[in-house]
Amino acid sequence: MFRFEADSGLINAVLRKIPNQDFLYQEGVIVGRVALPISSFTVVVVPGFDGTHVVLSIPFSEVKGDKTGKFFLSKILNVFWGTIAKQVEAAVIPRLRREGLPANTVTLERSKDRSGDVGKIKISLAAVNSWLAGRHPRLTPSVTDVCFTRGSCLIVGELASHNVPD
Amino acid sequence: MRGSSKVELDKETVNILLKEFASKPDSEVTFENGRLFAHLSGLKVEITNLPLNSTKLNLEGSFGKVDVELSDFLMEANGVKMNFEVEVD
Repeated sequence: MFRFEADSGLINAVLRKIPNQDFLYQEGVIVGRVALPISSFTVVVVPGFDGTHVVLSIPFSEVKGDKTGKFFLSKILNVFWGTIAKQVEAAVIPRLRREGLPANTVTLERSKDRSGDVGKIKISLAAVNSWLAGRHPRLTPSVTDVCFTRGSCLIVGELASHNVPD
Repeated sequence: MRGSSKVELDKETVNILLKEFASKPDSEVTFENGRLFAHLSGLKVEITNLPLNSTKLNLEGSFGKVDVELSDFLMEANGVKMNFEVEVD
C-alpha cells in the first residue's frame, strides 16, 4: 500500500501550470477564473471520488460572469452543455491519446442535485490504472482511493510486482 | 510556488521497490522491522538509521522544473514515511 498526500500549496502549484486559467484549491473546492474573449467568469469545481471515478462537479448555479451575470451564464450552460462537453472532449481526447491514455479516461456528463444542474468531468480510475500498468515492465501501481479534504488531496494505492520471463 | 507532500509506503511496497531498484543477482536489499538489510556476497549489513533529511532533488521533465527537499524520513516497523517540501517552477 502507498499513500501520497499533497497539501493545497502543492495542488495550487500544479493548477498554476494550466494555461489561460487561474485555479485555486481552497477549503476542499477549486475556485477558477476562466478568461474568454468576450468576458471572464468564475467557476467552482467540487472534486470528489465515487469509487470508480474522480469526479469534478461544476454546479451551474455557482458559475458567475464578470459582465454577463450569474443567472444568464447558468442559462447558457444549461442550453449549451452538450455542445461545450463535445468541444471539451474534442480538445482533451487527442491529448490523452498523445500521452497513451485511452479516450474514455475523461467523460463529461450532466446531472441534477438540490442546487440544480451540475456539469461533471469524470476521470476513470480504471483507465488511469491501465495506463499506469504499462509504464514499467515489472511494477504495476494502481490507485484505489482518492480523497479530497479541506487542505489536501490523498491518493491511496497498491504496488504489485510481477516477473517477466527472460 | 511551494507546497508539501507526505508519502507513506508499507513494508511490502518498500520491499518491492528495493528488489526492483536496489537489488542485484549477487546482492539483495530488504526492509524488515524498520531496518534495512543488505546481503552482499555473504556479508550481511544492517542499517538502523538512514538520515536522509535535507536531501535535495532537482527534477526536470515535460512538466517543467521541480525542486524537492526531503524534510523528514522515518523508517518504522510497518513501513517508511517521508515528508517533502516541493517547489514547482
